[in-house]
Amino acid sequence: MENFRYADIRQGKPKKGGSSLDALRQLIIIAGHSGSGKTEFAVNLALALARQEPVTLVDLDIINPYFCSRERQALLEEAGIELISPASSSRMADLPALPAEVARIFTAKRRAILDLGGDRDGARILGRYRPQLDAASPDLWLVLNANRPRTAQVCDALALLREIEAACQRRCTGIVNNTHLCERTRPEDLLAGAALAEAVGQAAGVPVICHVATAGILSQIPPQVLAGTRFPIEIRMKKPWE
Amino acid sequence: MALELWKGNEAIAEAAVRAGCRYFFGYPITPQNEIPEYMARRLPEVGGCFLQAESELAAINMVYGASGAGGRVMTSSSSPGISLKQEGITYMAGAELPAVIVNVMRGGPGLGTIQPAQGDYYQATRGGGNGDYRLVVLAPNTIQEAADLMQEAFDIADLYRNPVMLLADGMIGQMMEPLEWRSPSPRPLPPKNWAATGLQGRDTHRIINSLFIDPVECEQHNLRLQEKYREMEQRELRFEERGCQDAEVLFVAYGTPSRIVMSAIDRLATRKIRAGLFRPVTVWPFPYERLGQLAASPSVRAVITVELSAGQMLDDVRIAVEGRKPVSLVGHTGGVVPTPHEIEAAALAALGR
Repeated sequence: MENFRYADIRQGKPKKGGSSLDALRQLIIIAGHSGSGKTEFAVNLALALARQEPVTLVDLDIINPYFCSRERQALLEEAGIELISPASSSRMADLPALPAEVARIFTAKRRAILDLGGDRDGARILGRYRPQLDAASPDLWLVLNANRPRTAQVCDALALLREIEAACQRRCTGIVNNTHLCERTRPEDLLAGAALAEAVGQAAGVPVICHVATAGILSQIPPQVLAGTRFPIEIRMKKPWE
Repeated sequence: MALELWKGNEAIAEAAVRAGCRYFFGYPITPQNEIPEYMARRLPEVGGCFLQAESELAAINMVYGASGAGGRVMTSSSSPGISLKQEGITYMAGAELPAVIVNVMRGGPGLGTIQPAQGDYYQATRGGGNGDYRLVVLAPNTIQEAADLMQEAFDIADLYRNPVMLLADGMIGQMMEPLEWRSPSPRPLPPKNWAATGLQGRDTHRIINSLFIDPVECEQHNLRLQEKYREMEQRELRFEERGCQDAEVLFVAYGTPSRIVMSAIDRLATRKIRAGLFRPVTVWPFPYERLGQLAASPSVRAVITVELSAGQMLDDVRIAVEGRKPVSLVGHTGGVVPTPHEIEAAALAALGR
């Protein structure tokens, strides 16, 4: 591969004001470009954390009614995860109505993952919770997929990050490398994504939180080639034929 | 060429731009909103014009106008919005104006739901508006195919001076898949020497109209149109066959259901049951002849159509099969999608197992 250099791939060192998978804040906001894999990551993160502690997953995607975490309600509840999502009457709709239960996460002493809708429009609704979020000082992670044409270049990905930050009036605290091509993902996709995530993280002054892929892909990448935290996932947001 | 990850709706919009489409008129409706959203950002970059109209009716009539002036133009909507556009579509067919219309179908009737469906098959393949007219209707089942067909759709429209429809269901519009950009083989296209672009030194007006008040004249016009539709039937027919040779069960499906059928076929293979998929890529013209040949094959014991509707393509399948084999339906409505297991069970039932 000529698109990336192995030397570019290093672990994102947690910086002051940054975050890592080992030192999570109580609230973790998952943001990113539409189709970057926010929901897949959020659902897998909730499932992983639920093995150790009580977890709430908040589905705040009121932008698009397809492939939302609320579609996996049964799986999440089976794992003991509390799901807060749009009211049952509008769960399959794209009504701009936020569930009242969201207020609970700011007083409950349990981990909560906030799964946003895509792009700046998806992030804008956080303004509704500005005072509570200011007090809680949550993590805000940007999920990046280098194979999405609008975030394939450092400048474009950084511009999107800034748009999302401006829309929700919060600073990003980390980058999640979730570079894939669905069932055609190759190890080099994740590696190219790692280089992009590192460059975007450096430009934004935030660490790379983790590299996300199925265990099958991760096992094909030796440690010396990809440093940093790896986060193995199982594909949960499947298409009807998968 | 590198693979990229695209959402169906975005890929359809980008494909249109790559095909030279420079005008988009539409009105928002889920699940196709990413198309106008993408065009609103993209068209100004290439010197085009995006306009959100005050209604679907206004949008389709803007398409009529832009096409009449010789522009490469499109609109997109979802089921209820496409119903609203029918008047403009039949006017365009009557006035022989090219344009591409995208329908990302959702559950109906009426407002229905915003989940995927295929209940607009009759509307798309039988005209939809008034009068005797047809559209070439392209029905992709992958994002790659959606992008490929969308680029070609503009050439087909220009070649026949007729609207072309890209018929997708909500899942095709909303899902993400890898895509490699490629260009269709260029077709020689006639000059637009009918477009209303001013007299430019000529002394005769070019009039774009679907009104032929004299009955004999109107029938002559219809006969010309019918001749054109027969030519489309000859030249634009597309379909895909997978494992149809020696199949005991012949599935017929388009769009998302065809993907689910492929999973069901794999499951049936583990039971040593040979099943094949016949997939119309154009649902108009419909590949009656080839489907009839396949269904007549001695190995075929059952033909099963799988649709996100109460059974609309089923009629075309029955026309093709001509009663030679039993035809049954796995159909869901209202945004419900069948599982591979359900389709497998239908095949077992049809074989009496």
